[in-house]
Amino acid sequence: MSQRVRKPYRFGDDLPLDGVQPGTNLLVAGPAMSGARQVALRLVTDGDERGEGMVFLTTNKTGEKLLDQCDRLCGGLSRSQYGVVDCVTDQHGSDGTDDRVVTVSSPSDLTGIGIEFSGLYQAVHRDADERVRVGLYSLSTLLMYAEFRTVSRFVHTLGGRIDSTGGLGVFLIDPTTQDERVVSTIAQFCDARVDVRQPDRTTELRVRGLDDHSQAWTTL
Amino acid sequence: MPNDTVLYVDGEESSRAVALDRLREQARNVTLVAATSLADAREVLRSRPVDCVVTEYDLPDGTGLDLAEHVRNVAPDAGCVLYTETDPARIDTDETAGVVTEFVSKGSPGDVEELWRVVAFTVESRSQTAYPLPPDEPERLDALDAYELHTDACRADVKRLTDLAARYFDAPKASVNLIKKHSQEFFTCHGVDWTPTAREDSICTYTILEAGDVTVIDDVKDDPRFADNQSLDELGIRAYAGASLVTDDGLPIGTLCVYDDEPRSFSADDRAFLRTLADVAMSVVDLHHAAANRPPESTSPDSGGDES
Repeated sequence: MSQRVRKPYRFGDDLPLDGVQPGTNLLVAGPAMSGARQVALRLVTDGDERGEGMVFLTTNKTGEKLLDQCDRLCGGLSRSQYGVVDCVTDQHGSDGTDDRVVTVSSPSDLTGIGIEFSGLYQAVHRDADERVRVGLYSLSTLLMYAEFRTVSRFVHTLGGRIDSTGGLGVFLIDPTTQDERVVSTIAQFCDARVDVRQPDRTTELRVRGLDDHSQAWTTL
Repeated sequence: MPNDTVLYVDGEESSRAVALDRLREQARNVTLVAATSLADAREVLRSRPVDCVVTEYDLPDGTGLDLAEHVRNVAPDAGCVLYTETDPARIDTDETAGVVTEFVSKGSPGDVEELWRVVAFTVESRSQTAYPLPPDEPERLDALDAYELHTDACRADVKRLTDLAARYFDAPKASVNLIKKHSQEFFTCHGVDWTPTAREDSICTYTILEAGDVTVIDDVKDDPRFADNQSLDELGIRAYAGASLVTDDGLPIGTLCVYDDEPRSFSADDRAFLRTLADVAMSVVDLHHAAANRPPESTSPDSGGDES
C-alpha cells in the first residue's frame, strides 16, 4: 500500500475531526434540519480539493439535486473522480446525460443498488489512485422500503468493500425516524458514530468510537 | 482462510477454466470448487459447506441472482459475488431485490485481483452476514470450541439452571444456547425441544454483542429488528430475556434465555437474577471443563514403576 493510500482522510478546519484512517466507516446520526446532512456531505466532498474519488448513493433526492448540493458545498466537483447511484429517478441504468450517474429504479432494490455501487466504486477507486470517499444519503429511506435484515446485510457488505480497499464510508441516518435499537445495531456495522444536533441554531457534533477524538459535543 | 471453500459457477467451459486457473494463482489456501449451472451449484451447496459463491450472471438454467437467492436460503452467511461482463443495467433485480451481493466487473483491468480481494475479505471478515459480529469473533469461536460441552454431566447441571430460570420467571420456555459460527444450538431446553436455527434468525446473535448486559424484549413484534422474523413465530417466542455466558477472557460463548408466548415485562430484579444465573451457568461449564482437562494424578512410588 502506498504512502498516499495509507494517509488519513482529512477535512476542512471547521469540522472537528482531525483525520480518519483509511478503511473507516462512519454513521452520521442527526435529525432533519440539524445540519446532519450537510455534515455527512462535507465529510465526503472535502475530498474534492484533495483530488480524491467520491461515490454518492442518494435515496431521497435525485442525483442532479445531490450534485447541486455538493457543488454549493465545495464549489464544483471538477477535480475529482466521482460517481452517483441515484435511487430516486424512476429508471434503471445510466441517466443518459452523465455516465458517472447511474440510476436504480427503487430504494427497495438493494441488490441493484449494491451492484451499481460496486461497479462505480471499482472504477473510481482505480481512477482516483485508491482514495475514495463514499456517502449514503440516507439509511432512513432504505429502512422505510426494505426489511431491517436486508438493510443490515447491505450496510455490512458496502462497509466491507470500503474497509477492504482503504476507503472512507459515511452513512447518514435520522435517528428520530427510527427505533433506537435499530440505530444502535446499524451503528455496530460502523467504526464510529458522529451525532449531530442543533440546540440553538448552531450545529454541534459528537464523535464516538474514534481514537484520539474527544467525545464531547463540539460546535461546528 | 485455510479450509474455506469457494464455489465458482460459470456455464461456459473456456471462460470457467481461464478464471479458475487465474484464481488458483491467487487463492492458494482455499478449496476452489467449480459448477457449470444453477442445478449443479445447488447440488454442491447441498453436499458441502461453502463460504463464498462466485457466479456468472447468465447461467444455462437461470441467473446468478437466482443462485444467490438460493444461497441466502440454505447458507445465509455465505458471501455471494457476481463476476460477469454483463452490464449492471442489464441485470434484472426485480425478483431478487433483497438478496444483496457483491459485484466485480469481469474483463476490467485487474479484474481477477479485484475479485480475489473481494472474495478473500468477504470470507475472512464474513462481511455479508445480516447481523453485526462481536469484535473478537474468531477468539470467541476458538473459546467455544475449546470447551468440553458434550458430557452428559455438564448438560444435566446446566439443564437444572435452565429449569430454575423457567420456574423463577414463570416462563413456559427457557434454554441455554451456544452461538456457533453460523448457527445457534440449543444446549439445554426447558419446555421445548428445539433444533438449531440460523444465526441470523436468533435474538441471541444480538445479545452477545453486549456481553455483560441483559437483553430484554418485551414484545418482539414491537421491535423492528425482529417483527418480521418468521423463525421466532415458529418457535412461539413473543417476549425474550437473555444474558450472555461470558468466559474469564470476556468472550461470550452463549446465552441463558427465557421466553414467553405473550408480551410481558421484566423488572430490574429479573434482569439481575438472569445475569447471576448466566454467570453460574458459565461457572458450571468452566468447572466441567477443568475437571475434564485435569492431568492424571501422579503415580506414587509405592504403586508401581521401575524397581532398580
